[in-house]
Amino acid sequence: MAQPNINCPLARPRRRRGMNLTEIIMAIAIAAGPLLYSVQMISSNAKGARFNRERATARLILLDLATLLMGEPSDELAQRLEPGSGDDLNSLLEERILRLRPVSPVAEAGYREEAKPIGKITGSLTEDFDPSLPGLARLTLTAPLSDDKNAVILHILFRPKARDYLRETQYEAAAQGTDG
Amino acid sequence: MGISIFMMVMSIVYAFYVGAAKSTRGSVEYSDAIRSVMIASEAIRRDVSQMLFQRVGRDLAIFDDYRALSVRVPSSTLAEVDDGSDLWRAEHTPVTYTLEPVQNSKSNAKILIRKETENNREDRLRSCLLQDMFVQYFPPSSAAESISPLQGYLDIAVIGLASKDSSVKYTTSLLIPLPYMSAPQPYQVDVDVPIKNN
Repeated sequence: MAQPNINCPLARPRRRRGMNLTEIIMAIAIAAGPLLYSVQMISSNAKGARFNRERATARLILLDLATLLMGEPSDELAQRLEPGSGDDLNSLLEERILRLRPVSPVAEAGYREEAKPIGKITGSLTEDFDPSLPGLARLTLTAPLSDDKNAVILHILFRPKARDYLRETQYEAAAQGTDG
Repeated sequence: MGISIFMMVMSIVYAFYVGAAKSTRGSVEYSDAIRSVMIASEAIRRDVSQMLFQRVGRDLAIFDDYRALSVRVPSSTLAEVDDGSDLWRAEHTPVTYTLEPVQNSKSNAKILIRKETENNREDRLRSCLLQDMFVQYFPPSSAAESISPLQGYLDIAVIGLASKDSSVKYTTSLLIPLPYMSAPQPYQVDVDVPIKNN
């Protein structure tokens, strides 16, 4: 049996001398996949957290504004929410935030900071919302989030005339100092 | 050169790992702060929504530099209702909300405490850490400082914390309408002028 010719240059083991450019490019290309994936994961995680926080804030703000608007007499409320009336609900929110200043400027600044990402809040009032239930009105408030794709919508059903009557009688009772 | 590229790639991966961990921790802490705020505000809203409100001086007290609140709510047991059936004659007992500082807190954290005078019961809402709380009353008035001419409001501003040493906080404020309670007219007719049977 013939012995291999170990003196042949092709059969002799070659010693590595550093990495060549192809290997470097291959290493970067292989590492780029997990890197890009981790970037995407971080980005979606931060985006999801921001979305949840904004949505919670928008819900609280809309509830707050709805409580405020429901305190207004029905004719004033309808006038405020009339299309094209030019009344801005964000300025109403700003007025509401300013009321915190006398007791706590820290709370005022904190609430304003939380409300900052919320876009232009819009509202509408649909009288006689359901023909089968006369006198039922629907108040709708919408707050767009900062991603311009999502919004939080709040609907409240109420009877304006009954509400006004009850509140006026309560107010009269309070003005007279009656205990009921 | 291979080692240096490997180190470079590893340092980038580690930087992203640190960023992801920080981002996740931040979002979890914000969720905890929001939860603290929601627990506190809903606990107060629950009591205020069933409070008896006829006279400001008697039924509502705001003290401790706007940081404590006391309202009168119906007694928890029907046995204390006057003759067992007349809810308008129910006993109304005070419920007080105050803040108690947490020991060794770096963020000035406080626990919300709900105290019922009726049975001397004190509940510490331990899962709810607050940095501060402020309560204001807006009477029904046409004055500029007031909110509505027909409706009184209680404004509760709450600054929630994620944990006792966390710097992450969440601030919100909620308005609670305060309707004046008065006995409805049909009730008075029934009681004062009983219908005689023929």
